[in-house]
Amino acid sequence: MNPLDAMGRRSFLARTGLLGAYAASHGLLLKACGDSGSGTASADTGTPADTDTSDGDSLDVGPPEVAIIDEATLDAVLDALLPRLISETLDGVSGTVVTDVHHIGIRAFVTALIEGGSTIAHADRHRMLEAAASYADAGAELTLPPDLVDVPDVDVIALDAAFTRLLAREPADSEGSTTLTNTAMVALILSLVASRVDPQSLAGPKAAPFANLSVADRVSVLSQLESPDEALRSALESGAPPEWSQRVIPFWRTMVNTLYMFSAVLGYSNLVSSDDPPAGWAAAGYQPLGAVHGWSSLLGYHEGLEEATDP
Amino acid sequence: MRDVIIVGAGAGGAVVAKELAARGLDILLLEAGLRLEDSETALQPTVVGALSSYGWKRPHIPSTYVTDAAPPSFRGSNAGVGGTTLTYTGNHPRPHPGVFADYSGADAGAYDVAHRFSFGYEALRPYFQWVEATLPVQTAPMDKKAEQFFRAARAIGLPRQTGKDVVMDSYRPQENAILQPQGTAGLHDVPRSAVDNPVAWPAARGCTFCGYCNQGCAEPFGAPLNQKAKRSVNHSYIPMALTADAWASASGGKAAEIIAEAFVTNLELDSSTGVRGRVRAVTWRDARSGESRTEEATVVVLSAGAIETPRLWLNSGLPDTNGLVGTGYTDHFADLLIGILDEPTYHSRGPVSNARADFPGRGAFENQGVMPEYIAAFLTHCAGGVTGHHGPYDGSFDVTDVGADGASGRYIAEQLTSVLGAFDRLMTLFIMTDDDVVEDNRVALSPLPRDEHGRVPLVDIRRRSARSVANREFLAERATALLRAAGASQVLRSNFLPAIVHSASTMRMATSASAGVVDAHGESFEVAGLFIADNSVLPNALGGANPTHTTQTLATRSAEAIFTRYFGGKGWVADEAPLASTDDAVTAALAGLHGER
Repeated sequence: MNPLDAMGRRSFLARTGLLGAYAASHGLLLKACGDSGSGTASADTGTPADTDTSDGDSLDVGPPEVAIIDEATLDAVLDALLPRLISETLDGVSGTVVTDVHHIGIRAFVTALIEGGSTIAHADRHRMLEAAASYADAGAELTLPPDLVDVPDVDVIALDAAFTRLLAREPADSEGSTTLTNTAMVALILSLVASRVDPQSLAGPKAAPFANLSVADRVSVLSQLESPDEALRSALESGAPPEWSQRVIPFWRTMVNTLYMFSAVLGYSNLVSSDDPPAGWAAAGYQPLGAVHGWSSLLGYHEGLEEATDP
Repeated sequence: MRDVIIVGAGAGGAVVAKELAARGLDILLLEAGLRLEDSETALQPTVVGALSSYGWKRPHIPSTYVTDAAPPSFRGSNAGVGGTTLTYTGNHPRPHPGVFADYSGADAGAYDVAHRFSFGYEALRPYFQWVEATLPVQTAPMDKKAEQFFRAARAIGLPRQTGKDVVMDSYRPQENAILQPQGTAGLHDVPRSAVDNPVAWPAARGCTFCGYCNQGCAEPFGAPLNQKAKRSVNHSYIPMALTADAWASASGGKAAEIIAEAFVTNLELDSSTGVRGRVRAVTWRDARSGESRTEEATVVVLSAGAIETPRLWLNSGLPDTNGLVGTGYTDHFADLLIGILDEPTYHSRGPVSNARADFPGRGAFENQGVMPEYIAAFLTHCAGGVTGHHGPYDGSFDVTDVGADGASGRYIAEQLTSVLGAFDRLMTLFIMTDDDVVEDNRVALSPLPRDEHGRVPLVDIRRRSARSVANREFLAERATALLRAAGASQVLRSNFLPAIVHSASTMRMATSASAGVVDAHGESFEVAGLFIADNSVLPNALGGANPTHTTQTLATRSAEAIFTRYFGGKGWVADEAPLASTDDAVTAALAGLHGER
């Protein structure tokens, strides 16, 4: 039996944010039906109160006029949904750490950092997600918001099948298709923990549950991953391959710290901003003259001594 | 067949290359990262950008991992010709004498006594002096942040130390590998957009107080590479290594060859030489083409740093009979204290660090004048939690009340904005703990998937000794007191997480194979002809002194050992006077080198 059956495909896909993204992206589906794989998604600064103005034709265009479609088309739809989840989640993190800065630039740089190393094998990705979903489901009856209940079963099954195919897709044979990257794993697991912290996060302006949380709840999600209780620790470790199960908690601690620190660092850097000066520098009053060759800051030598003695 | 192949063109490798090129040996220097010769245009005015320029973002040059996971954490080390000295702050203090075998002071028991240098401090003095004259190392000039530091240090009862040797709890200006300002340097505010630049070379020489030490040093503008203010090896030892045929003609100097973007993946031994293997060849991967090349050498020197050197050793399957390779990682158990003063400090101008306080047996701290993104890093690369939400929760990083304000934990959103809003009034102190070597803290090969250069390194920091913890708390309390004395109305403690800064002691120097990986001259106990010259050979945390100076001193000594043991030569440090890397002969040789192209 597909392990997803045990927890319910609809519940799993909802907790990862995929079902919400699917439900909110009928336009994408329609577009994909006509032009496989050309759909795109974008995101904004990731705070719940934000009005999403950047998604163009991807939202609120009514139910799909076609039922289930061929595999390639559904794969293309999924390829469009994942970037949306990733961007909303990462922007949700940076929006929690720094305000009024260039979140898209932060997202791009953090993505490059996270993708810069080893890639997790597909079988391992599968188990890790299953374990995190089991943790999210444990002891709590999930009440899905109406728009997720309304997604037809046939669509859920197809979306689930597409996701399973994605999980099995290795970078080496992807040929340009989306693979489940490290960043996607981060977005999906943050979504799973977010849905446990507050199930209401499955309904909101964002597809990504993490992005629908309050700042306090987002901090709570990150804190739980950084310092998991026994249940979460057990789930995360059990999902990892035995040879590195002992490294899973340090992995998440490093990952969470990376998300916090680079959001802050980049928010106060000129690296991801085309503004001159960047917002973070302006807020700090750094470099009022712009980049300099030097300052008139020389005050001589302490007590007039220009050289240390050496016996 | 080369005389010597050196793996890594950073602080240690460049020193060995220059010293042996000056003796006429055939030197090949391999560097994993890029070679950026034009520092005036290549470096970006952002520390992350500077690191990116040197290979951080290039996919074929993987980052060093703090854990075995993909994301690199906050790093002060990086690839590139020049290595970490490209972005270091140029601080060159000598180590505390108490970490050497011959120390007999009243506080002799206060150090990491199980891991002392096997020889005496005095044995190294001529080598310290050689490096200090070559770079050169000079007393840092004063600016507002230094003046405030000195005044506050006196207020908390610290005397000034006037000598290079650390003999007591004291404060002093840094001894820096940054040329002192001469001419117009330090006397003008000059935006880069200015049509006329009064602090261009040669009207200005030495430090112009731009404040960009951590981004690489491009000043004075227009100066030859070997006349730039900060003495990264890219400005000092590398130019000398590449022109040794010209400035060292009297000793038969031969120009070294350097290949950048060459990632060494394997070391090969000659197994026909008996019980103790003998190094034979080096294989590297051309990071641009992906092709591998192999060359043989009489001697191989590993200078890839305290993480990549043990990684290469283990990936090559070299002998590790006592299981010591990669163990005992130290990093000064760093922390940061940030004071918010009522008056301006203008800390981001001038040398990044020009004032320090030393506490023998405890460690040291120094001022850090940095750009906003650094402050943001200091306040978020923390031991867990978020101030105002969830406090620190990792028991291994619990801290005591040292008089700072509020709970330790990350600062985000409005709290972060508030601190950065006081940017020009900040005084930041960087804590460098005399951190005990603990074998459990180590570099190992990660169980995670390998990258194109083999299995990736895992830096596993598991615990700190009680002495390390106590030392860090002591220093944090002293730093807080200094900040209060400087007028800080608020003091924030980062409780900084481990970072790849001052990484050391994973291939320690010792008297026997049962206690370390290399002998007192840096040669492997188990592989003849294989030397190590980087931070990894440091037997301890140097009492809290910034490590580059000691590493370059030991590399000089290792170069002599290579020359005498394998090439029939004799040492030179005792009998000769070093040539400064700023000497006109080097400038002329460098001009000749570029003229040939």
